[in-house]
Amino acid sequence: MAALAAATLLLSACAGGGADAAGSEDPIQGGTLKYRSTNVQSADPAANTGYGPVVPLRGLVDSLVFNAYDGSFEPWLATEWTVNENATRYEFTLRDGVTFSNGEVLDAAAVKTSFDALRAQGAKYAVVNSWIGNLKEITTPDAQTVVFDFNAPNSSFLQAVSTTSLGIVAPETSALSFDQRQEGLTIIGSGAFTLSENNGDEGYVLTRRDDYAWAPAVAENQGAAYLDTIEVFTTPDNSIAAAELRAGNLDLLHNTEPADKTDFAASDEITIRKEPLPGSALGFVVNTDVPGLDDVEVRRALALGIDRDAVLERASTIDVAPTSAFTASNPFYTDQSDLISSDAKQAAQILDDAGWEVGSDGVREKDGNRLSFELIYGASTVSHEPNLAVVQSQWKDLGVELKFNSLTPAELNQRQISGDYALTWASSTRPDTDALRTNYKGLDPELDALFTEILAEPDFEGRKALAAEASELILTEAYYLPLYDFIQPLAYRNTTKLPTFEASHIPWLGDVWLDKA
Amino acid sequence: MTTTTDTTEPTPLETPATPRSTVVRDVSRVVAGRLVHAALVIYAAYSASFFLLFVLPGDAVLARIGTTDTVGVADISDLDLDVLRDEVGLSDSLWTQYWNGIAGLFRGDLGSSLVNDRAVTDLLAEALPNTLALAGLSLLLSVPLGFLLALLAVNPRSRLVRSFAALVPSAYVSLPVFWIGILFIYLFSITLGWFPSGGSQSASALVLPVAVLALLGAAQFAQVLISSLRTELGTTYASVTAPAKGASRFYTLWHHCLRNAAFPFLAVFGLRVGQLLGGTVVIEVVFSRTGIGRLMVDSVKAVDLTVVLGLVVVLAIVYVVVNMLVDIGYSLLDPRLRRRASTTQEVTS
Repeated sequence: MAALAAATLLLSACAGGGADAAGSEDPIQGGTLKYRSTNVQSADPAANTGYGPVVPLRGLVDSLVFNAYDGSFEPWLATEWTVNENATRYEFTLRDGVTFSNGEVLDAAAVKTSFDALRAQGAKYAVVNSWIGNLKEITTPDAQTVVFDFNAPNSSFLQAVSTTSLGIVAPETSALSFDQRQEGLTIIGSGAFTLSENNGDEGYVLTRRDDYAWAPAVAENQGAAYLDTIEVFTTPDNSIAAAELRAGNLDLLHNTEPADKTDFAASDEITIRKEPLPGSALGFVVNTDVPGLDDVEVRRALALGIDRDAVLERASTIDVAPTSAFTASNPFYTDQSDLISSDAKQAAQILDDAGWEVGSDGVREKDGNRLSFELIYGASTVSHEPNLAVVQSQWKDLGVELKFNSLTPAELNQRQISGDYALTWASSTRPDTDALRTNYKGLDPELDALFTEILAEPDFEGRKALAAEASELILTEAYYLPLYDFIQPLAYRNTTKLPTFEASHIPWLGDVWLDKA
Repeated sequence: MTTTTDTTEPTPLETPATPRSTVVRDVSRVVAGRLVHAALVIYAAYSASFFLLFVLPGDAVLARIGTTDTVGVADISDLDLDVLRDEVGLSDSLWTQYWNGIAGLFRGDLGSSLVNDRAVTDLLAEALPNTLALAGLSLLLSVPLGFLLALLAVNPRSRLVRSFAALVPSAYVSLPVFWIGILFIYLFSITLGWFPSGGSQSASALVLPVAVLALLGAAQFAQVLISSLRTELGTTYASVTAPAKGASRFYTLWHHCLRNAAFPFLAVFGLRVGQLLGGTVVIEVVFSRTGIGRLMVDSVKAVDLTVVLGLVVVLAIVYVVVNMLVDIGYSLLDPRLRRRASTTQEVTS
């Protein structure tokens, strides 16, 4: 074992170029990482797309490519790949000698089966299928080559295949029905860990796979993982979970209440990451079909009417002002802070000029329409409500009424589909330009044309330039009313070492070690 | 009921000849009546929940596709969900769905979850043992604890001790369960590290949730017992006769008053079982335990009709059984009830 550790150290010394500087200490082999998420649906990677449940699944399945922290793509299960000029054809060459934990070989056929199984289940895997996009067919010219052909360009596909959700599962798992994949130890991957215990709603346990030897090229540790096991807990209450982290009963935690975030940020035992999860910045997305919001002047006034400094004073100390429609941590982010400003006087002037007059109840109206808007969101946004109340009072002074309402997923989706809302919460998390398309598609033909162009542009710099244009349009047309770049990342004890992160801010678990000698 | 059938008996001679068969007939009639009653309760609970659930906004298909945290507004609008609705039977008319559900109920088939496709019976089989262990243990502990608290509040000579002991149950009952749960976690798990704060993987994880619920049950029982014991102590047999015969206060309480005072207790006991099944919701969430309560909350949120209805059926069965047991308990406790039953029969025959 010592010889193996020495060998891996030697390897990591050679390969550690792309990783953080945290690797200066010698990693300690062994130990159990205790990770807490608010909830887990199951251990099925394709059924989990939220950040919290996805973190441990990174150990269970590997992906074709590794989306490095800076947004670039690195080899993993695929040693190389080519994308055609309009992003309709992706060809991957697979690494040799990779096996699933049940002994099956990870070859082109296994990759095809893994994807076909998801597509066959259709809307049951709604999110991942929307990421896969308009796929025509998957072909396997030889055992090490997989080709994806699309009916329409999908330049986001590389990012999609880098996620755990599209991680490759063994043919044995692919052969199962959706419900079978949701229970027991049915999920078999090629990851550095295998599923060894499933406790349903309460979490599961992952155990190290000793013959693992195909870590992503940028990882420090190229051999078997340092940790023996990863225990995944679910604690519905965030405050209890935070107390558990303080007490040392947990090593890694996702989802923290504002007060605990502030507390962790000042702690010398606990680290909380201070970068927002990559995606779109937080704020309101407008429904332009609602009277009042169909007028760009009104929308601009509403954006100007938000005093972000006051909102941030109420939020946790680590949340920061937004500087784009993307969060600053998104690889496709460009600083556009000059397009985001606050000026209550100007906002009132705009509304006066546009003919919106303050009625007897203090709310402006024009032609029988009132500037009264309802913001809808899901349960995970409830912790933002104190901050929303700050906006509510700022808008009240402006003569605009803001109502906000937390809904169940079913009702939220129903009202969004039927367009029965004025404002919704912009909060998609994906380290890709697509984070904007999913929220702002269908609002503006010019914007839609940009999104189409982005999807057909495989080049990183090309996409980034187009993404900046899209973000600028969204801000100047005020389709998005910015609030803040919200920090809801991982918090961990300082004994937990996380050397390598993906662009999605998910740690690569093969590298993780515990400094608890 | 018995009167009408018995009066149709033509000859008075037959009556003394068949007392045993009459008793058997009466018992079986009571049992049959009970079973019909039980079936009706379950049916009514099922139907009421079925139609109430349809008032909930959205459906399970909308719940399972995720929220805008993962899919955007535009993506959700683009999804073709009708295929999925067809598959899980949500596109049938309300009545078809209702009759399918009832027909399944008769076959003992509760269907499968609309959210994860798993059989409802499987989900129940996973959740039920956990909840039963929690509720059963806490109930078992709460009875002796309740009696102990009540005796403490009634027996001691010192008025101060009595008043204080009588105050404790009222104070505990008025605290919210989730708050006590969180307090217990902070104290016994996080600060002292004696027990795990949650989960159901080890026996020690049961200690804190059982303690919270057992204390609550004990407090409720004690409240009722205290007031009825006080009433009993005020009656002639306890305040005059027993002391005159030289019985100590404790002897009087233990041998004479408790049995009489246990009557209202039994009524509360029945209610407590029902409360426990509902009350585990909060405890299961606070202590991160798999169980009936948590399954119910998650399923209602996800508009997972089949799971909620399956839970309703199970809970209705438990209620019916418990009510039956409480009725039996009444007649065991009070010989007058048994005598009354036999005298009415004598009168009618």
